Amino acid sequence: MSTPVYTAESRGGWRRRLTGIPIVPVLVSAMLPVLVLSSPAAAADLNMTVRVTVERVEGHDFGEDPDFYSYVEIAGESFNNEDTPASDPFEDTYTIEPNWEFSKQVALSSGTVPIYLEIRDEDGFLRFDDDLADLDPDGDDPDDPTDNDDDTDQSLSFTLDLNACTVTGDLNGACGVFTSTGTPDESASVRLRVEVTEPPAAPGIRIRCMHTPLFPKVGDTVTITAEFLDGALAPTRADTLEIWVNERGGPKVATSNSLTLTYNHTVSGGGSFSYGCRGIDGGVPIFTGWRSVAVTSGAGDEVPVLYTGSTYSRVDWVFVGDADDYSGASDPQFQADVQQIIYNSFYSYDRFLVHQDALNFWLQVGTGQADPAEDGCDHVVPDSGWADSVMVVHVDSFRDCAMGGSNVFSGENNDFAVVRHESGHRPFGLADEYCCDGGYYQQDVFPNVYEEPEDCAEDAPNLGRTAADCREFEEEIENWDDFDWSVSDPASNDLMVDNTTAQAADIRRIEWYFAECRGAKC
Amino acid sequence: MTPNRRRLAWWLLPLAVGGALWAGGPALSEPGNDPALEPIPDFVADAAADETKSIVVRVAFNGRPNATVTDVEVVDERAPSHLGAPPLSKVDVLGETGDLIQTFHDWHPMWELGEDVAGGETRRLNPQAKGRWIAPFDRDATTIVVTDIAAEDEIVRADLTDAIHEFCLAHPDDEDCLRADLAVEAVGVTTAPPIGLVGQEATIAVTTVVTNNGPDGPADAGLTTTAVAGPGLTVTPASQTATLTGVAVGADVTDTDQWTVRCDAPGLRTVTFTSTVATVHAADVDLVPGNNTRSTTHTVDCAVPVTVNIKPGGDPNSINLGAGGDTVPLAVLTTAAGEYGNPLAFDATTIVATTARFGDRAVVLGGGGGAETHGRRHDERSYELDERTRDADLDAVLHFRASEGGFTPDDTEGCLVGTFTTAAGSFSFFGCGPVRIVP
Repeated sequence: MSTPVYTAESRGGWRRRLTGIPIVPVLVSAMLPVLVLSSPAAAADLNMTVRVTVERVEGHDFGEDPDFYSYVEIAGESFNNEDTPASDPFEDTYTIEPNWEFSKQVALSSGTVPIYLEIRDEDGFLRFDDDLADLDPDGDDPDDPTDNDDDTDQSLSFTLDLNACTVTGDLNGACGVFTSTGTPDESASVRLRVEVTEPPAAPGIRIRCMHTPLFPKVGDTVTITAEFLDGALAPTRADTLEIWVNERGGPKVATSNSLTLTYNHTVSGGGSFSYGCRGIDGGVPIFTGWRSVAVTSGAGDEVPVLYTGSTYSRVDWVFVGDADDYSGASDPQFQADVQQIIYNSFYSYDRFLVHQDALNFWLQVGTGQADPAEDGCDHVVPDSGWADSVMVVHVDSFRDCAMGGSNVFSGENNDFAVVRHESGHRPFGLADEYCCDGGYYQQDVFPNVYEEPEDCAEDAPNLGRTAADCREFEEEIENWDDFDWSVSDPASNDLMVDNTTAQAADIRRIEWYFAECRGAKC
Repeated sequence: MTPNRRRLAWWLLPLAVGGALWAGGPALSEPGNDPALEPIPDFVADAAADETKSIVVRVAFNGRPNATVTDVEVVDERAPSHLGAPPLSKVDVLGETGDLIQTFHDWHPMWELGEDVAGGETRRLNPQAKGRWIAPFDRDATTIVVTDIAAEDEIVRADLTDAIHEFCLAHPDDEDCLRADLAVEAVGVTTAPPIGLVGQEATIAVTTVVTNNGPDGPADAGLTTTAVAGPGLTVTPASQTATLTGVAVGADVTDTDQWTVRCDAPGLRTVTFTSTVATVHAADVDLVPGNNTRSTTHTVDCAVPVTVNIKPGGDPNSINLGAGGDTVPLAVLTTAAGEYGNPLAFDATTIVATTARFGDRAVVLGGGGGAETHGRRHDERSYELDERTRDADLDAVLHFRASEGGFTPDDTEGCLVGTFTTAAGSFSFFGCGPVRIVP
């Protein structure tokens, strides 16, 4: 949908009669109701991203070195990152800077949302009596009329106004960074950031944005291209398209009523540059989120070419070039091929595009060596064990494979559907759904394959299906598996069958995974 | 209103209308709702703040139950999320007491998902697989145990302590590592009998003082003390260990061990005690090893036990402590090995009479007691302990003044210590006999 802001008129008639009345301000005044009052209706469906980031925690007066983790509630959804890779590294430490991000999409029409924060000290594995670090300086609960000022409230509760982006309660003020310190004995000083940001997608509209070259050098000109898409990822015109680069003061370039927008940015230094693309249509803004791009290799083995934020709240993909085809991260062909993989496998797949602000992409500085399946699948790569998935990109055609003992798989540079299928395995943990020689297992949480047909039948209504949708197949491998497996996802046109579309069970698991990530659990 | 003012009013119209509408509408363009507020991700800062580490256990499979740990390493990057991993293998990270620190599921290294010859994907089981499990670093972790879930079989049990210790030695300033300069400040024998008796055991106490010179603490300290005896002496045990918990910086912590020594031959015999302190926790390191060890050598005077017959030929052996006290004769019997339970043969005629001291046990072992009143030995065939028999060998009869013996009315024995001389040298002897003190 587009809203005209200026309409050409005839030179005669009414304009002459209004001689002396400036036409522009009058027209603008006339259009303002359209411009402004059209927003509430259009914005009714708009989900904003509410993000709470625990940047720093400094404990006081704990008997032993505390094992901090966070419990956060945003608009009623709780997040708890106890015993996760995001919290384990910070155990036994009084002062931590974990940058734990917790985010949730909240309808703008909600007006306000409650937010609740606890910092807890884990007392041991699977113990349920963990201590709370007192964060509240006055210990009173502003939301509790019966609170008797007894300093027993140790958490932070506040209400976030989505429109004004202000908070009231235990914290007060405009969105941004807050600090709070509880009263002595097992207390903590916490620094947290509260944000309300535009979502990376909205019903019926999407935005895709990429830069090239993927890993530019200082002095290179980087072309950033924004594309506005509909819900089916077909190009559609946006009322406004913007490209923001490095500065948050405003977009570098903007256009109206366009399908795409391009901006050329010259990399001047500083080790990185950042950009994001924003589209507004029908009063609904969507923003890819800021991404930072490395322009020099750092100390690590990997360089981020699309970094959206903390790895503990993101799905991290690392690409490594096969030494037979590429010379490393600086190889222009490698960059071009990986760019195509990101564009086609992730940004052209709606299930991933809507979570583009939760995906990080990295390039291995060095090269690896893909090993064909028939040779034993012993890929040799520089270790990126921390990543959620590592792809050895190669050009030659041979039988690709994924190693069970690592997070590495090989893939041809143009096997975009295979990349999506492999991502179903890692990181999302989906099992194959085809008969009869795939990789089968039943996940503890939101499985897509079941050991027992009764489990499939019981779960089917949760996926909008009936027990009749469950189909069975059998796989027997001596001393390994002897199961009849059940699935309710369809036997074709499925991500885990023929590398195509994520179906209900796949979607549920993928969405759960992203939600866990948004709760600082990955 | 002038034309100019009228024109100005028209130009202000949008502001008035917009302002009125704006007050009642949602603030979609407010700074809080657009890229102007959202922070720009900073991977350099994030990486700098993220000091996480992980423990990598690498294995090689040769068949499903045959996994060999090929490497354990601490790396300075985060562990991966195991959020989506399937329940194929279960990884438990355990602490020193077997306490469960963390647990997660992971893939199985023998699984291989590969393109099929006919197209599509297939799962194969690769019996010669290599793989790894990566767990978040925990300074208290000691063991990783991996279970093959389907087989319900423990396939890997890896000791993590060496890898953690090596990492901390290389990165002593890491926040998870503790630097403690442990030192043995002193080691010495604090309790020991004045003499030892050949063939009999005695107890020696050795005390070690340990301190922590910092900079970090408190730290648990492992103390190992070894004992090495010279010829003619046996000491048990060969070593003892103790854990000194929580040695604070600057604190002196003592540990005392009991040792058993046994003289196997007469003479001055030595035993050397060496105490060595070391950090106990894998993540604790001591970068100053030069002060971790200290030794002491103790000399034991191994005396030959002898048989003493006080007031030979009579019983009871009454000793009058009255005015001046009476003179007490006693015979040191010449005995064969095994006679009267003595471990060694003893020729009483080798006694140097001027060295002999008689009296209360503690008094004579302390260097006191009465001296031989004549300053000489009287070699004669004296009575055996049955007070009737006199064997063929010459015994040594000595005389002491009872009042010089340091006896108390409660004493029931009188003891004799002194030296004797043979071709092999001079040695101590010691023996006691029953007495009845007469006030």
